Amino acid sequence: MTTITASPPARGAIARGALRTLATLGGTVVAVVTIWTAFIHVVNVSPFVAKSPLDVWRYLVTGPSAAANRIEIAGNLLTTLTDAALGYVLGLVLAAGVCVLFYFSRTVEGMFVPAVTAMHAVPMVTVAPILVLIFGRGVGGVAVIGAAIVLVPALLTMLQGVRACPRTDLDMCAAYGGTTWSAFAKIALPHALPTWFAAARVAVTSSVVGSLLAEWLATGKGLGGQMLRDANEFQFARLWSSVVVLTVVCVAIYQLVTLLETAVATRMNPTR
Amino acid sequence: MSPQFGRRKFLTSGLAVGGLAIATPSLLTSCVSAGKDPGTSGFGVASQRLAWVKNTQFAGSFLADKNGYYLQAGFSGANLVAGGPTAPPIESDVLTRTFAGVSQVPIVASAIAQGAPLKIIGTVYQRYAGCVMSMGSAPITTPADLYGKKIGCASSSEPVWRTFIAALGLDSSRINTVPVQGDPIGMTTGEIDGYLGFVNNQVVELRDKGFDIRTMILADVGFPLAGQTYITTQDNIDNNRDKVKAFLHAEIRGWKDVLADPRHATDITVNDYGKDLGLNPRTTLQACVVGNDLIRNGQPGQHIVDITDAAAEANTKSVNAGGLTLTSAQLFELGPVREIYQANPTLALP
Repeated sequence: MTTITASPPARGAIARGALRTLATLGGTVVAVVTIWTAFIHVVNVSPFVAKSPLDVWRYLVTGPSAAANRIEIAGNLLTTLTDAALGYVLGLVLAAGVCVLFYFSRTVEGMFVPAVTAMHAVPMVTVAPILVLIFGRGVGGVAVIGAAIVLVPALLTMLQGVRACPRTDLDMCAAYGGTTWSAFAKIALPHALPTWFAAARVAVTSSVVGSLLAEWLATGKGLGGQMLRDANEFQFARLWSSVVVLTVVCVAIYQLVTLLETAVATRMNPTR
Repeated sequence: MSPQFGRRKFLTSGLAVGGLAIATPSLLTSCVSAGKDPGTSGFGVASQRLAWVKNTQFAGSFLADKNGYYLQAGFSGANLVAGGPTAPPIESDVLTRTFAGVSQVPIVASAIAQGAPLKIIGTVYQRYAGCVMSMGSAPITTPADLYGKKIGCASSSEPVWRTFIAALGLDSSRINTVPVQGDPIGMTTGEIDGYLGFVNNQVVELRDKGFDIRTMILADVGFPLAGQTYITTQDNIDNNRDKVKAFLHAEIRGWKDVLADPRHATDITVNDYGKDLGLNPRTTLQACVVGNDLIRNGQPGQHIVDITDAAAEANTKSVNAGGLTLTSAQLFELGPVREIYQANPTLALP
């Protein structure tokens, strides 16, 4: 569809890339809006509850109180993103720490990996009230609930990364008198960068889920608190609009992390 | 065809005739005035979306089904659709799937304010069951006691809570409302000072566990609000008025049975309709008795499920405090339930 034939090679590549990105984005939007509209027509739900893309557009852009609606959602979004950032940072730092610990001690890893994995199977909704009792409803509680959701998938991905480095590289390091630590820092860790970034990417969405959960169960603020109130106060236009805004922002942040990953990968790419 | 006309065919037609015979008298009593098609099934299935899981809050409907009141009113049966924490909004189901539903005045009001063609056609509880629960060691007995306290509130109760604070002119910044979904365990450990619960639910549960629980019913401290409201669509009121009346008639009879014999109502709830919930018979009976207290208004000859115009007016005023501008006529349609009592004076409580 988007073939560009007559342009200088370098610029052409960039333009092609940009065009492809645009086309992909446009295609995604068209696909989502189509499926969304079709879904609403197929399911038997009242239009007072199931809002169409047009309703959301009206609520956020063209409606009489659209500006006020946007400001309100933006305020709540900021709270949610702050909450998500807390869980994101704490979750990834913990995951990295535990990953390093596991890397250096197979015994500890053997002891705890099954338990940690199993813990992830316990629904957070049931555990969160207990975490609230322990860590409170402030920054601490929010960070812990978010981190609890981010931690396990990130840890398992990171662990797989550091473990997957070629045996021969490590052996060479050992042969030249390198310590276990330098083997880790100079070989295993750089080797694991792609997977660590994958963990960071996945953590974007899970940290947002965590923040919504924390807002639902602990603080009652942000988009999480507001969306739940909306469902109970029959404010479905605001509810759907919030979901759309949150989804778009999540995609944008995800793309941002991907961009960062590309930049780092280009710099750190192992030459082999 | 004739060779096939054997015992089976005879039995099915016999059953159909029998069914007709059962349905006919009720059809005659419930819709004499209407030129409604007196088909074999009359009004079809009496489907209603319940506000919550099948606990004793809906015992009246269970008994209306169990004792055949729906059938006698001209329905072919009943479909009681349970709600719960993950169920879709009640109003949505009533607008698209079910004939009627059980909801709360503030939520219905909010839906109506947005243009949803719904009306409240009756209320089971004269007083809303919501109350501020607190521990005996630090009781909250007046609205002024709420200041400086940390009150847990489930998101489903938040509309009511915020309207309550607005209606009483309380300063919401001086009350720390925090989300507590489901169990108010935090109250017993001191994490929260109070919890917006229901007198016929969490209060009963915690008291049964031996806690000293105080309650302040919102409807008793200057916030007149009915509970367990029957809702249906404007279309049903306009075009199926006899069906609406038949439905309410069956419900009234069911609730009269609950008032007369809460023990039986509890048995039916625990062992039949709510069997999957594993309800505790002891607390369920207590909840049922407390609920009955909310149904009665203390006046002799009460018309249950109906409320007075003054009460409807007061309810409207209560929900309008939350920022709505509805009239009582936009919110309530009490014509059908009153016509039932006009036609059947003996339905009134003694």
